[in-house]
Amino acid sequence: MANRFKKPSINWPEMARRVPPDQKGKFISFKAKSETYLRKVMAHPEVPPKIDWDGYRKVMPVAGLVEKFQKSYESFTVPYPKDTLSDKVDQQWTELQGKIKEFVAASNENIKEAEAQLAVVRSLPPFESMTMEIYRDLYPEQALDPVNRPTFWPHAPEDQLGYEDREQKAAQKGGGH
Amino acid sequence: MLPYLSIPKENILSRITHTNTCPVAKTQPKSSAAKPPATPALVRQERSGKCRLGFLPEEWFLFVHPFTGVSGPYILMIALANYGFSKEIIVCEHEYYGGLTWIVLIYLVTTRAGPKIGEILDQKVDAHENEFKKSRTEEEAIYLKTIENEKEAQMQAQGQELLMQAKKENIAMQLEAAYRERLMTVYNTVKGRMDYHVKLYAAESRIQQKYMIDWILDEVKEAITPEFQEQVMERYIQDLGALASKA
Repeated sequence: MANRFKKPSINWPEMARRVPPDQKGKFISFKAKSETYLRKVMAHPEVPPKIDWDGYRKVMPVAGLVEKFQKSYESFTVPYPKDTLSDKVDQQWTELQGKIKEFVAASNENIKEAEAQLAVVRSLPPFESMTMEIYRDLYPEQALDPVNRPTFWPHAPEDQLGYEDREQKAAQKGGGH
Repeated sequence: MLPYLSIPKENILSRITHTNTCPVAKTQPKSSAAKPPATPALVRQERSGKCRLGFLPEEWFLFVHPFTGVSGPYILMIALANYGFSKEIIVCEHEYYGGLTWIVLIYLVTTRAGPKIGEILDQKVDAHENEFKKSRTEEEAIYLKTIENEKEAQMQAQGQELLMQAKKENIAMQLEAAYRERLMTVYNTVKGRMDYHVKLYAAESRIQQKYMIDWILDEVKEAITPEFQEQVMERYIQDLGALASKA
């Protein structure tokens, strides 16, 4: 009774911003559910309307009946439904917090690694002041290496042995028509 | 973790100052390679050095300045030419004049068409260079994008707190809805019974009244005898006669 629901306080736009795109559908259904609950709450007034006891007293010929009704109505307290699920949500949240912490730590690791790689890339000399030797040392795959990987003139991919164009590849893969 | 990391992290700077193919790298002990020397990275000059008379390097002039003074190199050149001509080292036959025409032609071509040709060639070089630069910016972009994505994922993961709050609020809303429904049920029941009683008594009194009226009327009708009716009829006729005489 002490903490009765007053009005919705969920920050939907902020939440929508934080929902990963692949979970948007779930989010929308969740929001719809929440809205139905809100509608159910709004279907009834917060406190029921007052019963016009005096009016009844005027039209009621039997003495004492209205008083009896009023007394018993006013003395009756409606029990507030018991909350059995909030604890479960709290438990979920404590479990989730650990998972989030783990995830954030792993993600921070990734960020660190990416930053290190970024620093490496940025520390490389600019291409305009590289010599062919530096290029070969930094990019051994792309650099010209006629000793280990000789190519036929004019050194275009389609002039090499074992070259297959797109059609041939497709024919080999799909088996043709 | 990140599969696209191709460049080894270890000590790139040391490898740049002395490349693998550089003979110095082979003579140097391995341990010194771990420490990158403090020399700045090599920078390629974009343009050639300063020249005088179109083709003679500035440095040659600067080299002889201490011995000969500023005009010395020119005097030296004139003296050398003079010596060459007088001793017939430079022979003025037809090849010599051919050479002069070639010099004039080369001068004209380089001054007139040179800048334009240079521009075209520079463009080609720039295009080539930009291709390389693009590959590097793309690589950088991959890492930047990774960092950004990770940060966003963290933000989204932490957004689950909002979800939990929303769940709790949903529970509260359902409880509240049930409570309000109960309140309304009590209200409606009590009010309905009250209305029932009011209507019951109203109906009872109405029916009682009706029966009472009927009973009274019946009693009155029973009390009327034929003699009484005749008396009444006579009274009517008398009244009519009185009314007729008045009119």
